[in-house]
Amino acid sequence: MQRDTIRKYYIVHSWVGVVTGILLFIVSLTGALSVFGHPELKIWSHPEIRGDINHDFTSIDYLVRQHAERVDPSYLEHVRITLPGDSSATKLYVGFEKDVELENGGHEHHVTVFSHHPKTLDLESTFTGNSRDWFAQFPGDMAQFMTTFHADLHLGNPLGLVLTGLLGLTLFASVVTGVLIHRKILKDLFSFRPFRSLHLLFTDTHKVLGIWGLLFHGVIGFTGAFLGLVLVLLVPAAAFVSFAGDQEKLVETFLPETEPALTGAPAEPQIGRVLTDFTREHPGLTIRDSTIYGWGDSGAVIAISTSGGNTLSAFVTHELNAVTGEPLAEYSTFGRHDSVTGTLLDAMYPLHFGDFGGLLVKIIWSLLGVGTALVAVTGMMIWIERRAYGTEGSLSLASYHRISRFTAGACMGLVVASLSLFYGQLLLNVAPTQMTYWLGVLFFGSWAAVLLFAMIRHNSYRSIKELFALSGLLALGIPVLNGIVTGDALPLALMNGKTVSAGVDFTLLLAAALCLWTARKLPDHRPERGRFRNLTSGKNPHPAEENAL
Amino acid sequence: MNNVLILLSLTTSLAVIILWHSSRKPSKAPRWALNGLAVISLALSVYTLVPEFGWARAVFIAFGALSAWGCIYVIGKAFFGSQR
Repeated sequence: MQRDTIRKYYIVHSWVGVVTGILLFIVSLTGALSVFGHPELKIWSHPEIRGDINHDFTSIDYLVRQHAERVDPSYLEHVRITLPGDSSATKLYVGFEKDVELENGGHEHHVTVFSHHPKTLDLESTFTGNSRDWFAQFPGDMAQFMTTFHADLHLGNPLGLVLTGLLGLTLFASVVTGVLIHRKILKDLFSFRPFRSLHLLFTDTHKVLGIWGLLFHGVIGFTGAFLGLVLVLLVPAAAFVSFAGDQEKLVETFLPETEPALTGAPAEPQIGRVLTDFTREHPGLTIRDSTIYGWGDSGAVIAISTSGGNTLSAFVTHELNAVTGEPLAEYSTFGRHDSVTGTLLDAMYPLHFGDFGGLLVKIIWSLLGVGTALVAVTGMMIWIERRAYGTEGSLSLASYHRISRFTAGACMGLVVASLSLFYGQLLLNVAPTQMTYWLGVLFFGSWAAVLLFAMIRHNSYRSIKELFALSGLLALGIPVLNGIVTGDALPLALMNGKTVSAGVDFTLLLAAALCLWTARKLPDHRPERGRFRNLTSGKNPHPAEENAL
Repeated sequence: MNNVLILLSLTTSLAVIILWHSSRKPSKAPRWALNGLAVISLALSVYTLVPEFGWARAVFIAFGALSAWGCIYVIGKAFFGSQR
């Protein structure tokens, strides 16, 4: 490739990176946390669903029948049972649903939902109204806050989704241009020299994490762009091309509703027996919810939505006869269309969130997500270093210092703000429907405070060091506070079988150790000519590396 | 079973990285152990083709494990290895 062409790709790579760098860091880091949003952080956020929840399907069957006798028969179109625990639901929900025709010709989904305690199964509340109001009164928590922030930066649809979708595209573009400008990829695979100079620390971190995680970054960029833009651009575009703009028709085609073959012969659905047998036959699957279509008919179908199967698809639905338990069909979300398109659509969500191979794959995805965030921030720092201390800059040194302080404040601020969510979840005593609002106040307030702190401090090296120490102390305090507030101190949680809660606390302790170790190792001022003289064994850098400064 | 397979994938990814690294310069790493891990890697590769496990999934698990171990190995070696 010609030198001029590579130079053009380099310019594109560096400017795309610097314009989107901080946003990319934000989305990547929150993505690394969101990998554990459901169910791990959800379970940690709600002490009532920590520990093993043994679903007593016989009792659940009894409750459903009792409610079915009380509700208006028109609500028996769909009977939905959502199990608490691993499905991320915090209660046992028994919902009865019907579609209502409106005067203007439209449809509205009406529900009656009975909420039961996840362990005792005591009835706690009843809701009747349209489904929009039902979802609006759902209690917020830090897991939901984090995953929503990752998806749309709390800017909603369409602005937030378009923004994160475009960020996915820019990440993908950065991966492609990064490969094109990097002619010594294999040579740099094992080249990491953190103690020689600041410049080499940034460039080697950028290259090592960028090259080893190349395929991951590409997959995350592509699937992120798809998930961000699918609702806003892709669905309307596909509907326009193939369904004359009718989006409902498109959704019905790709996601057809279950149609039971009703016989007219009355029969009671055997929910308890069917679900017990299903769980015994599929011990590795997690049941999210079960919906009964055609209640009271011998041809009624129970559609059991599961996760954790051996497929590259987040969810698989098993349809069985609700009376006899006879298996009828098994399909993934888009699997009813036996096509490559369906397979690809199914793979998008699990590939983005690492939700296709259990906890270990989630850990790998989360680590690589942190890697993507570090690639973004080191790219920013390289851009600043080259302009502040190299020959490429056109602004004053003070201007580059301001950009550097802003980058440090924005990035470290996000770490502090994310940790503050854990404190908010444990300490905020507000109405469940107000939780998201107050978590937002805490999250954005602490982020702004850190940003302000970094901006007013002239020595950004010292402020980064102090912010790492602060993050370490915050992470260290969460398991302690969790033990005090909920009684689930780490050893007790382990003894009581609350492994998810213990796992989250243990991960926070590891993060605390890493942050405190980093704070100890980082210099509190810019090393002389960017070199770490004191951290090496007293040797000066190699002349070739010195030239790179 | 899934977790066992993923752990195997992690182990063999690390072996491949160490073998690759040691092939670039003389290494004191025990060759028999690395060769053993490479054989496991081959067996794993064959197993990932078993449709029951879902080969498409296995490919992504393998590259994810390789990427994660590559980053951890190279960065960890610089911080905790003997050479600086």
